[in-house]
This record gives sequence, structure tokens and C-alpha cells, in this order.
Amino acid sequence: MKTRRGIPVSPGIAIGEVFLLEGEGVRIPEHFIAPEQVEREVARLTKAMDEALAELDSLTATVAEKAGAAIAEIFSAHAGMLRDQYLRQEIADRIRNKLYTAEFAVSRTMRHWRTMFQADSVLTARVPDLDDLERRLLRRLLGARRQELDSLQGEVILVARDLSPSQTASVDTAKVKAIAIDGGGPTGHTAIIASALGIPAVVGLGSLTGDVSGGDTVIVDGVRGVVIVDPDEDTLEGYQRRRTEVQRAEVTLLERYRDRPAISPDGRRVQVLANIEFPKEVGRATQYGAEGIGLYRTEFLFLASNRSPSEEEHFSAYMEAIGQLEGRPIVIRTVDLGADKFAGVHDVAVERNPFLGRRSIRYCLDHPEILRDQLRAILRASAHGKVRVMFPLVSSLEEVFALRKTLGELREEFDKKGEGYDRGMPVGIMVEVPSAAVCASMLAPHVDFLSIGTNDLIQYTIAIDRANEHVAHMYQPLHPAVLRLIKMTADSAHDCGVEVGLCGEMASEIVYAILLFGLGMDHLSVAPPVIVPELKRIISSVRHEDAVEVANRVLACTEVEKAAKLLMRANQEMLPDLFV
Amino acid sequence: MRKSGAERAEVVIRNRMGFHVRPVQRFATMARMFQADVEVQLRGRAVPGKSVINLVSLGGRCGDKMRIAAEGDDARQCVGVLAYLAENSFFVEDDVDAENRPGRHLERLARMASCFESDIRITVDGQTADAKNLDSLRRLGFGPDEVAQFDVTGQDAEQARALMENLAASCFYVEELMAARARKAARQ
Repeated sequence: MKTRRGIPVSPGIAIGEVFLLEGEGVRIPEHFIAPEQVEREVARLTKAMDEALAELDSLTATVAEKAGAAIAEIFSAHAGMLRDQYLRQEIADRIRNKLYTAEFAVSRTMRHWRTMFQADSVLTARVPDLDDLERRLLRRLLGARRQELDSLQGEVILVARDLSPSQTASVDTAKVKAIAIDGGGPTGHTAIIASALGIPAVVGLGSLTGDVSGGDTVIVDGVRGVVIVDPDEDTLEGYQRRRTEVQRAEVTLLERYRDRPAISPDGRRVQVLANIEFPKEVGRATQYGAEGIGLYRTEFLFLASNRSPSEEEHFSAYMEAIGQLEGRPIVIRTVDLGADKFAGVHDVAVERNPFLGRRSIRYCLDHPEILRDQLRAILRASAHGKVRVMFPLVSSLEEVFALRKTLGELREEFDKKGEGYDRGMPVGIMVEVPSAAVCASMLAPHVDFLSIGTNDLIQYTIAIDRANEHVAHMYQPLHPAVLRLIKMTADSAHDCGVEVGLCGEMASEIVYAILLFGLGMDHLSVAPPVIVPELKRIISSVRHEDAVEVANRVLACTEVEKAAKLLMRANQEMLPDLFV
Repeated sequence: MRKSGAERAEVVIRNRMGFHVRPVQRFATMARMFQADVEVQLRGRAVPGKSVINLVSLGGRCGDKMRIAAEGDDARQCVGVLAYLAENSFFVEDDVDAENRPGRHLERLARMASCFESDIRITVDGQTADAKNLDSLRRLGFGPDEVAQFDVTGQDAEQARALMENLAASCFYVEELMAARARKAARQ
């Protein structure tokens, strides 16, 4: 049994077998075996080499046809190396004498040869052959335990060094019961997606991939941020019990609050919405009682296909979502990506500070065709459901004007064509840049709603990259500056008669529920949807005027720690069964 | 055949690209057909002669002197075959025009067969020839892509047969035919 701690990014408990995903060319983590595993490991090596050999033999024939015998003989030489008993012995010796895993032994052996080849001006040209051979063997070794992510056989716990956006997007929630990754931070796409899909996830686990093999039993505790490899009987039993309890409590809560709006005892209503990545998540969101979609992130339309989606692709995704919403509202946010993430775009200069660069709405304003395709689809969709459009990363009124102008032009275009759209479609902006929060009173009169994106707002306000482990602890939602900006935004919105909500992660953490209620949020948009009934319950049981008082006291705190203590005490007093 | 023998030969690497991947592959494949331990020494470094990766690591260049040493029952045959291969640019024909002459497969067959003590007969289309006799092979007049059958008898029959069959299977290392055969195999 081995326990690793990471950052919990999506709650829940899952117990299952490891599915170890390894990217190509990945360095093998230092991974040792127990002495009694030596023969099994050598057998794995032999099997991998034999399989790679068979693969090479068939490749040789194919290559001979396509590229000629001279090239083919290179592969047959690779096969020759795999038949090389000296090489086999050398790798096996490393397993036997140093208790390396087969992967690590292969990696180390090839490194030895690579170093030697690199020292010789002629041989250095042969290094790619070694690399190729190494990759081939590693693929085999890792591949024996690897199915493709999109064709999983049974239920698994996905363990990886990191997940690319497209890998994350292709996760099949019917099969993947939890995600645990070595890298990543709380704001990474793995966190966002896992949370959206409602599966437990823990990130930042260091070298978990080095601790597990495919098929190992692991427990992923997405509440405490713990992953337990090869749990003993007692631990396993304890977790199974907890999992059942959690599930039972969830069901009760769900039954009581699913179809009820969240109205406080003193009559103040907060709309509880859900954040989604994919249209297919809508069903889940409404099942948990979400009153609509408060944030539909459209990035995955861009990331999934390696090119900018067409108007039709946008439209059909929006229609898919609208079709399941049964009249509930949906806020579609225009694409929010870094400049480097837009595919097929060639004018991307390397940005020294991508977070301060030409990203998100800035990029879209510079590339009107991308923006217009998306806005046309949104306008078209607005004829079929309660669609709202939201622009991310807005930092000035000029941007609001430019976006309004583009929308106006498109409306004229629609009018000319006689194409239908919702003339009253609400237009909103994200408040996630400090300048937008500070100038909220100037922006609010020109929009229909404001939605606070706390993840970025906190990072930009405190100048903290949350993915940077050295400063991640300074990421503080309760930082007085952050709280003041949220308050300022809410007050400005209300002064202008504009709705204000919060769709950042902070909305999904129930410890902040009373505070946000007290700060005046009209809606909270959360992920995963399992939070929805819980939030509804909190709001239904806390008087708004009490929440305002708590918020004011927290706002008065000059230090984060004091604010946290005060808030926790208030939580315990007002919601004693939730906060023990 | 001697019980336990040691044999050595010294050859000069002639092909322009040196003792690179393909020559090494051919060399090691043939070396493995023998029981003898093989060692190749080049520029003062000696490595096992059946290990592709070790041989490649020698980084032999054109003009380098290479010493082949074998120890074991079939050491003489082994060194004979390997030395002939090495002297003939490892049958790599990329840049050796002189090698590109018709009938070179017969010469390769005869010279390789002569390294063995066994009697080696080759049969093509019902016609039989003595594989060690170049004139006899020429009279047989078969092409490098034809199917040949070998009858091998003698003490080193096993090694001799392995080598003959390797030659036939590789179209006697006649480049354009190797390519043609590989293409055919890939289609099937």
C-alpha cells in the first residue's frame, strides 16, 4: 500500500484498476521492482522484444515496397539489434542486478549506447536508429498494459503523467471512473473537465505513474486529494463504506432539491446553473437540478478538431445543448484560448507572457472571421432557445464597443437575409481581469449581465500562476483584494440594474457559498453538477441578511487567514451538519 | 574438421559508407550461423561479432583495418565466410560499380560454399551443380531470383545449409532483386 497526496480537483471517491496512459517519447520514471519480480520483469522484456521484432519484420516488408530495399534493411537492422543476444542480455542484466523495471532498463541501456554513439562523428548519425528502437520497445512494454483511451474494455482509473486537452476531451465517463495525474494544477483542463464530467480527480501527484502499473488497484479520493496504490483490506473496506455513504447522502439531497429553486428563508433567489464543456453534459446538469447552463465553454470545439470550427459545427453543438435544455437558459461564451491554441493559425509569434498576451477575446477581435463564425452560430441558435452570449477576458469599454459593433453588423446581416434570431438576446461579459472589476460601473451600463471568472481574476489580481508550485499557495480566493473586486463588481452591476453572477471555481466550493450569497450574486454557475443540490440547500437555509453580514465581516478582514477562520466559523454556525 | 580451433583474418573495409548498419546486419546475421565465438577488432577495440549494436558501435570507416577472430569448432568456416563478406564490401552495392556485373551471385555462392567441408549440391529445375564449382554453377545458369534447392552433406552441413539458404533468401544480396522480392512479399 502506498499513499500519494495531490491536489483534489473534482470530488468523489473511486476504486478501480489503473489504466496507465503514457505519451510517446516520454521519459520512463525511475521505477524499481522487488527482487521476487525479477523473472516476471525479464519475461516482460523478452515478450516485448519478440513482439517488437515481429512488428519490425512486417514493417520491413512494407517499407521495402514503399521505399526500397536499402531503407527496408535499416529496419531489418533494427530487428537485428533486437535479435542481438548481447543487447538482450545487457538489458536483462540491468533488471536482474539493479532491479530496474523493463522500461527503465531499456531506457538506461539505450542511453548508454546513445552516449557512446554521440561521441563518434560517424556514429552520431545512428542515434536516431537507437531512439527509434527505444521508442518501439517502450511502446510495446507500456502497450502491453495499454488500451487506447477511446477503446477501453472495462471500468478504469485513468493514470497519466499529464493529459492533453484532446485526450481529456475523449475520456469516456462510462469507463473512466476517476483521473489521477502526475502534473497539472487546479486550473488545468484536467481539473475543469473531470469536474465537468463529475468524475473524481486528483492532480499534482508527483510521480504516481512511477508507483503504479496497469491493472493495479487504486483508490482515488477526490475529496482529500489522496491516491492509494494497492490498498490493504481495511483501507479498501473503509473506502467502500464511505463511497456508499456519500452516494446515499447525495441521492437524498438530490431528491429534495432537484426541482426546487434556491430561495432563502427571507425570500432572495439565487439561480443555480452549471458549467459545461460539451453539449452532452447538459443532461447530467439538469438531472442534478441545474436551472440552466451558466457557462458553456466552447474551447473544445476548437481543440478537438485541430482547426477552427465552421459556423455549422458551432451551430450544431449549440443546438445539441439547447435541445436538452427544455427552455432553460444557456450562456455561450465565445472561445477563450491562448493564441497558441488556435489551430491552423500561422501568425503566432512566441509570446513572452502568454497570459498577458493576445489571447481569448483579444485574439478574436484581431481575427474577426473566427469571431463572426461563432457569433453567427450563436445568433442562429438564439432563435431556438434561451441563449445568452458572453465574452471572456474583457478589459476595457472599447472592447465592449467593438464586440457590440460586430454583433450589430451581424444582426443587420441576419435582418437582410430575413434569418431569425432573438433580438433581445442578452449580452454579457466575464469579469476576470482586475481592470474590468475596477471599471465594472463603466462596463455594466453597456451589457446585460456580468459573470465573474474567479480563476483568472485571482491569478491576475495577486499575480500568481497557480500552475507554478512555488507560488501556488499564494493563490487565495479570500485575499482582501479579490473580495473587494468581487464586491465592487456586484455593487456596480446592481447599481445599473444588471445581473451579476459567478462562474469560477469558487462558486463550486461550498465553503464560499454563504460569502458569495452575501456578496450579492444573482446566480452561481458550478461544476460538477453534483454541487447543484448542495448549493440550493445552503441558499434555501440561510437568510440573505445573515449572509450579507458574514460577507461584510469577511470583507473587513485584512489577512486571508483571519477571513478563512471567520468564514469557517460562520459556516459551522449556520450549516452545522455540513461543516463539522 | 578440427575439434576446437581458432582462426583469424584481417580485412580492409572497402565500401564508402564504412561498417554501417546494413553491413553490420549482414555480418552479424552470418556470424550467428556459427557456433564459434566471434570477435571483431577495429582501431584497438574488440567487440562480440554477433552483436549488431556492438559492431555498429565500432564505427568502422572505409579504409579501416578490421580483424575477425573466431574460436570454436567451426571457426575456420566462420572466418572464411565473414572475411569474404567483408572483403566484398559486405555485398553493399550502392557505390561499387565493379560489383554490378551479371553472374555475381554465382561467384558469391561458389566462394561462400568453398568455405565449408560439406558437399553442397544445388538443384534448379531438375538440374544439379556442385555449389563450390563456379564453372559448374555457370553451366547451371540460374538467376538470383530463381528457386534453388540445396543438398548438403558433411560435418558442417548445418552451418553450410543455413548460409546457403540465407544467400538464396536474400537473392544473393543482389540489390535490385532484393528490392523486387521485398515488394512482392509486401503485396502478398
